[in-house]
Amino acid sequence: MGLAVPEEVARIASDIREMRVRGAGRIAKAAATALMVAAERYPGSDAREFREYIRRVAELLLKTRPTAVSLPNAVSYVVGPLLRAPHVGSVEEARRLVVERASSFIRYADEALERIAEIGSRLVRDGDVVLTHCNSLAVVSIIKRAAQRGKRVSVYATETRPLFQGHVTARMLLEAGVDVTLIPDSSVRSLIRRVDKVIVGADAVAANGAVVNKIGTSLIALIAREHGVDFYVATETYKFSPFTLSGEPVVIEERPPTEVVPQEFLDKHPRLRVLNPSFDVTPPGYITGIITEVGVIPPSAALLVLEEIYGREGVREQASVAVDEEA
Amino acid sequence: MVRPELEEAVERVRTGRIASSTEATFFALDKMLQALAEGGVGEFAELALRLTRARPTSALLVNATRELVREVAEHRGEPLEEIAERARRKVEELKGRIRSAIEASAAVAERRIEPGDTLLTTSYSLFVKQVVRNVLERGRDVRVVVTESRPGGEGLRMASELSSMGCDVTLVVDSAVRYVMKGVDKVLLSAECVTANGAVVNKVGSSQIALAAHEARVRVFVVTTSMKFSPETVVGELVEIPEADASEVRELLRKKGLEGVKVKAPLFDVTPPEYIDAIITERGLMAPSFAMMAVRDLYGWPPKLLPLEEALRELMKGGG
Repeated sequence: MGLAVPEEVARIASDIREMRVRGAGRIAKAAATALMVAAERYPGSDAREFREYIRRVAELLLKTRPTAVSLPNAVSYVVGPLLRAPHVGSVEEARRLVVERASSFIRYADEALERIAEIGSRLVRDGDVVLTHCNSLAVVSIIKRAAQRGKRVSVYATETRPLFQGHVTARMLLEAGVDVTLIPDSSVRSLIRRVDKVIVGADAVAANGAVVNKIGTSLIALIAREHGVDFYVATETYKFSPFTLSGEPVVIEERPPTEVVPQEFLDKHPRLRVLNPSFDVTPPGYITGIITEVGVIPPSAALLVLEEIYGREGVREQASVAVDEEA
Repeated sequence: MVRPELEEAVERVRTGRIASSTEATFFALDKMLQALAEGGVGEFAELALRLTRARPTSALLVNATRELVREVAEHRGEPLEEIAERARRKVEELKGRIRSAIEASAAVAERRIEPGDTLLTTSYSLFVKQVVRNVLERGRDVRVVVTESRPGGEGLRMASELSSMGCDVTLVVDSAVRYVMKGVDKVLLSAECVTANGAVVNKVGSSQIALAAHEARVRVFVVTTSMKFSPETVVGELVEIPEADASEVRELLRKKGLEGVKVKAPLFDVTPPEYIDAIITERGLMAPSFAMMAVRDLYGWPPKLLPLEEALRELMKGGG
């Protein structure tokens, strides 16, 4: 079992961990790609060993980021059939299974993004001012599509401390010729009166319709609600978390303090603590609608989406498996 | 004409580079004295006009300048050295009053802090700092969560100074306030200005902190002085929010080749009275709706105010 993980796979894993690849959608696709590469590069001929090797790669990928549910969903979509199979045939068969599942996931993800752009762009009116937080491909695709359809849209993009993903959003929109203004995270309430709707992405959607997304999202949702501004979440359904059904809370990752302040500042103040949570949870009551590839759904319909993906049986199984594990 | 080094002072006050409005007021008063001693009444008046216009939100600056201008105007027939001496004494008196107000307000506010409390604050404030210092001196343990307070990032200075005082400090990004609010017992804010309806103008981000506190049923106290109450707002003056110095924000964009991206960065925001549990001043703790009564006590009813701009134009005309 001494099979090493191919270098390219290890690199993808570290890119996810170090946030060189970020955004739940991109992470999911990167994970599927890594599994595909791993399967293709397997040099041996023992099918059982291949299965263990793929399991190891899957575990390596799962450990990279704790919050993004797209990651376990993508990994389980790709490797689930192989790992659940009662017996494995040849390495070639097993390899084909993984590669097919991986490419079908990537195809699905691309099509989903396209559908979200189309559906979401219908919600954007001519002349709208849209506020967004962090960097979401789904949100950028919606705005670009609306602009292509001839709607005049201007965007407020928050800086998004600590890592300034707002700059990425600004660049993407600027390149698409969309009018974009960068604002500090602290000025959302000052400017909300000029905003027609808020659209953000998601890292995970829980079974009750709560949305896990970049830290600050829930504060923006609260501000939007205070002012009666519509608050939409744009996300692929593979970010809906079946794990939350069993009551499992979504783990909020805490990142290193050096993302917020330089090391010298920390050295100078040994007693000072920096709390750097990556995500927060927006309650379903603050969300107008979730724009997915299957349509715009109210957050309370999250369970419906999960049932449609995993089947009613599957959803119940998910819940009972967790309960069994507890017991 | 205002000489170049004073010109620069106007710019520093305008952009909020001096974070604390108390410090900005001290700085501006010193510059006005310099203009008076070196350039005469005309230059003094012009600088005072420019400084108060540069930061019209600062009620402390406007109120203190009004007192100084009254002093200068009343004695304008006297030789310049005498006027300058009177002005110097007036500024000393004003600074003394502000310093005692910080102590008196903090003495009231500290009674509201219970042992083991976790406080949350933003930006840099001498008032809030004094409250924490008092609480620590009483030997009560207290933790303070400080937000970064971009743009400007004065929260880092606040966190650094509180930490040096021996306080248990946690720094968070501005976005994290709703996330941490569950663990917060009280929010302490300072003020740039308190309006007649009890709304508080303070560093941008304050109003979203107050909103998150309100949602989580966490109490919000504003620690300030009655000298920051704005009597002008009683007669319908609007508080115009200036743009912050966003050069850091732009510099980051420039480094990434994103000069084409526009930036909008208001320096202050307005927290409505509904989200404020009490305003604490040297006169004690009051509900925000009592701001009106405080203005009446200070300036009469209806408030009788020296029209600052007119008085300054009058002084400028006279020259000197």
